[in-house]
Amino acid sequence: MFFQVANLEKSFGGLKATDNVSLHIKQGDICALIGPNGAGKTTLFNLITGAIKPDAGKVIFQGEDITGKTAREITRKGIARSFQIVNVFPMLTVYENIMVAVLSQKRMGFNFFHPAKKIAREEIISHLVNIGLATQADMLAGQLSHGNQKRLEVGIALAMKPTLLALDEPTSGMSVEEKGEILETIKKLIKMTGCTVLLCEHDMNVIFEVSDYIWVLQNGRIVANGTVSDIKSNELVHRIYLGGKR
Amino acid sequence: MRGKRSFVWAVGCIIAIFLIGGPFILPNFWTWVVIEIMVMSLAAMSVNFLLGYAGCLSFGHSAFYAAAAYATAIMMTKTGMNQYQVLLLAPLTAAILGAVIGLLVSRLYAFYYAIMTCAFAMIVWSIIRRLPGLTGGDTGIVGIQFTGLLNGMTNIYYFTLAVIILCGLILWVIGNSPLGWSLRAIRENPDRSAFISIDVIKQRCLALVISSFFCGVAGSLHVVYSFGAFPELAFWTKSGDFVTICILGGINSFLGPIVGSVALILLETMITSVTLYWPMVLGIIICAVVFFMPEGIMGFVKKFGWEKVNEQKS
Repeated sequence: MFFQVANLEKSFGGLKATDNVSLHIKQGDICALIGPNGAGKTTLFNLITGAIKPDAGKVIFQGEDITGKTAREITRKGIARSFQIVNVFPMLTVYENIMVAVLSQKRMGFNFFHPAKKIAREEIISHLVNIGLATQADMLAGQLSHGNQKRLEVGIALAMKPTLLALDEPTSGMSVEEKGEILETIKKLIKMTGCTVLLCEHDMNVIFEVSDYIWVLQNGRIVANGTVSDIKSNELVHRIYLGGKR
Repeated sequence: MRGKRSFVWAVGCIIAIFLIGGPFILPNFWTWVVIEIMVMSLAAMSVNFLLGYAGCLSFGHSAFYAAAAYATAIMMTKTGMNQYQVLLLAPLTAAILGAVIGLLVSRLYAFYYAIMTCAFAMIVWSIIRRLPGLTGGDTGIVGIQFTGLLNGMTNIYYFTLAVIILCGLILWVIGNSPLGWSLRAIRENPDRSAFISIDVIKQRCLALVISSFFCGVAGSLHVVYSFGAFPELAFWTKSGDFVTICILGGINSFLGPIVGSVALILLETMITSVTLYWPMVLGIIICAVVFFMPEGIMGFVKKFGWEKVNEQKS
């Protein structure tokens, strides 16, 4: 299996945020993780990407046990993530935001004599074109609109050339039109790079449009999983989301 | 834009001519002042390397300054080593101390980083005072004479100038290298940096080592122009001076520390000849800078310059 989580547990005080979660992702799939607010989606993301360490369970990526490894190591292994709440480098320009990621991806972090701005220019610019921010390259990231900051967020993750891309609510806080645009961009990029995606999202329309497979999380537990049509017809999911029978 | 560029060039040329002609143009007293300014510039640049790029505020650089100064003084008086070898080795002492301290503080941020580095500087200070056999205790080590290229005011002036320019260039290159940019990323957002595989702790530690090395170069030069090493060099107020210079000059500017040390030492030299209450005057000046020029003198100049250019455009 390409990516697998087995019996993962995490508690914060008395609260079991992740309760015996097991899931798996096939290579090349766009896999969605859905659930109401507070279901533990972001916690699961944090556990997978090394932001926090699990209390028990295993995370296995391409046959390797990556449980409890640091965020830096896990990113190196090929899992890059974007954040629900915009998390860029605000006082660097858009170009520089992508540049620091590309330099790190090329393992040049300890190179102290090459002029950084002359390295991999084409690659950085092509990343900027791909995420649709080429014209804003010289703007400070902190001055971009929210929607464009979310684009940059995805761009930074993609600059790491991941094999598994974990997108934590890439459309949160966006208007309907913006959502449509960024989804198109993300779909295009996924096709182009061929990476596997773990997507966490609130918007059911978004999920049903893009996913190959869906995992439903509630109160820290996986309560349902299946293809889009499975989930669409699942009683339990309707109850979770609509509070009752259809 | 063109007018601005030629203005910068003109100012640059005047400063260059002034620096090259230094000892022949200036009276002796002022030549020594310029030497002191240059040495302080380098120390402040090393502090600003850490502060401006990596975002680490160190109050412990007096430790590196003093460590290299004492290493120089001790090697000059107690061993028969060649003076140039001494000047090469002494900054390494500071860098080693920087590595040791770096291993302990690189996980810390902001306030905690500042306090911890300050604490280490105080440890170094007390060690220096408690080892009179090696360091001369409270009196320090005095009367160190260098020979050849390092003898006499004019020689010391040009030697210092050459070293400062070389070190400044190296710091500039490092600052614009991938390492320098990784440090900026860490300064901006250490959490996200980990998610683009930047080794945050190692890089911050390395930044401190580089910074402490160049601060050590300044410490060694201090012995060259003052002929001695004294315990006050390790006292935390010396670190405070470096940080003050950075703030005064502007921490977001490469030239900020140089401008800051020119401003601080000129002010100090001129005001101390008028009043004994120099620290009070300095305090008022710092308050004024923080209020009216939060980006320091260089930030103010840049902003002012930009606004001028924009006015001309519209």
